[in-house]
Amino acid sequence: MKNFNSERGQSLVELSISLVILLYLLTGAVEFGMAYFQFVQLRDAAQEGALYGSVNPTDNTGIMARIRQSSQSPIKLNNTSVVPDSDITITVSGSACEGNGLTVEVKYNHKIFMPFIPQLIGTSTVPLTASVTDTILSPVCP
Amino acid sequence: MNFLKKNHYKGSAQAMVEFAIVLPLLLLLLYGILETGRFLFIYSSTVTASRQAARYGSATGQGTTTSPRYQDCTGIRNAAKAAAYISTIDNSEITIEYDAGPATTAHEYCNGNPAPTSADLSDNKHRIVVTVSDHFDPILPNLLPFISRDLTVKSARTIILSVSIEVTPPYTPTFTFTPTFTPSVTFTPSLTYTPSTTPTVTQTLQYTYTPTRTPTATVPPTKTQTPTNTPVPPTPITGCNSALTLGLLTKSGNTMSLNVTNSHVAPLQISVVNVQWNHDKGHQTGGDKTLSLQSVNLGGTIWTGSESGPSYPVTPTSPGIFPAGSTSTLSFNFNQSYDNWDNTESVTINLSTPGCAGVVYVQTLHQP
Repeated sequence: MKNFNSERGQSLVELSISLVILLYLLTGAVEFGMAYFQFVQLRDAAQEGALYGSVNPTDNTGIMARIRQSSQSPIKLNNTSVVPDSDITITVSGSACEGNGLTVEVKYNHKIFMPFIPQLIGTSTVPLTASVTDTILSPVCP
Repeated sequence: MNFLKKNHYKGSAQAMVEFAIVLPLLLLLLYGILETGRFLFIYSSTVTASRQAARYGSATGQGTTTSPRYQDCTGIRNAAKAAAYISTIDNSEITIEYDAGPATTAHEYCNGNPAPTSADLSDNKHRIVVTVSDHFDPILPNLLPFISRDLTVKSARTIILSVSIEVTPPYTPTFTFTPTFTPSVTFTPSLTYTPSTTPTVTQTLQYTYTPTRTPTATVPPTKTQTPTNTPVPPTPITGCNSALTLGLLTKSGNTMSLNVTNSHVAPLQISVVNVQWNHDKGHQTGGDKTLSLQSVNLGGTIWTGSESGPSYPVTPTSPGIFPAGSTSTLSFNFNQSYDNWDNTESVTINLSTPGCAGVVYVQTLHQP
């Protein structure tokens, strides 16, 4: 208490330091929320692609288009500079016919938008991966 | 709090000035945080609303109504509205379309236009596209008017109408046998008469005789065997003196008899039986009281004749044999009933069996 009385500016400095810490805690929560929001979109897009692929397992172009066109919010999935083709993988286990699995995997690197965080944690992106496997329903195996 | 407390207690004007400067900044910061969070919430709600509406519309089967879900405008809209909390979503903010896939023409419906039918969507490639529009306004519109913005979110989902799945059912053969028998009789009488005036007789006589004779004569070998008979004299026996036991003489009807027991191991043969009987007064009634011997029995008849007595040596014409180890009856038959004894009766038995010749048994006693 003696120090507070003798040095008046101390409290303001203290406040500014603690406020920064508090704000960054808040920032972390917002970042996590945004990343989760984006992940839900990725998962939904992968579900859409897997759903289409379960009845059209050989139509890779169509599956890719369905994934990209399922939604544009918050990630612009139809923009290949945001999500390159290499980040969308379509895998069929076995032959592309009834009973086998079709896996759609969509990746996106969430960009941390709060300043100084990348410098603090050493990376500017958080990789998000949504993977959905559906059973192929059609066509019938030969 | 120490910061506030200190100022209250000490009443320092310096601190009041500091606080007054900092407070608007803090409030503005707080307002910004609130507004950011609110914006993100509404944005998220809008995205979720369009996604959920598209999911509802693309789901297979029927919803609460009897129509399939892609035709259920109310259900699709309610799915969108359920995701909105802070800002409500009106029907006018929900656009429902279907298309044949990415980069094809979208057809809006649920606004008076007809909804797609199952025939429209039968290739499992059509999508339902739901666009939800919302508008974000800050709580204090005059403070930060530039952050107002329109939100338009579009979600698309493929409608899987139906998938034919091929399975291998258990094989159940079904035989249906429907006999079909249509009897058909067609009779077409046909009479054709062709008279012929030149009869043709063809007679063929064949006679084939092939005599085949194979005489076979088989002469069997003849063997003449001459049996050689070498008579073996019988072996004499011993012990004849005590072989026979003679019972008393008895009479019954025309017969006088006695029992003879042969206790020897060999049968014994009679040579001569000398018998004496009441030849002149043996019979009781009538004028003729004589008795004549007619036959002698031992097992069977051994002698027949007619002798008037008073005694006679009977020589058996067929062998008279006393069987070994048994009792036999020697009986004499007369022409009339033997009624009276005269105590002259006797039977003398001479044996002829080798070893027994000369042995004589006599019985003179008779029953009273």
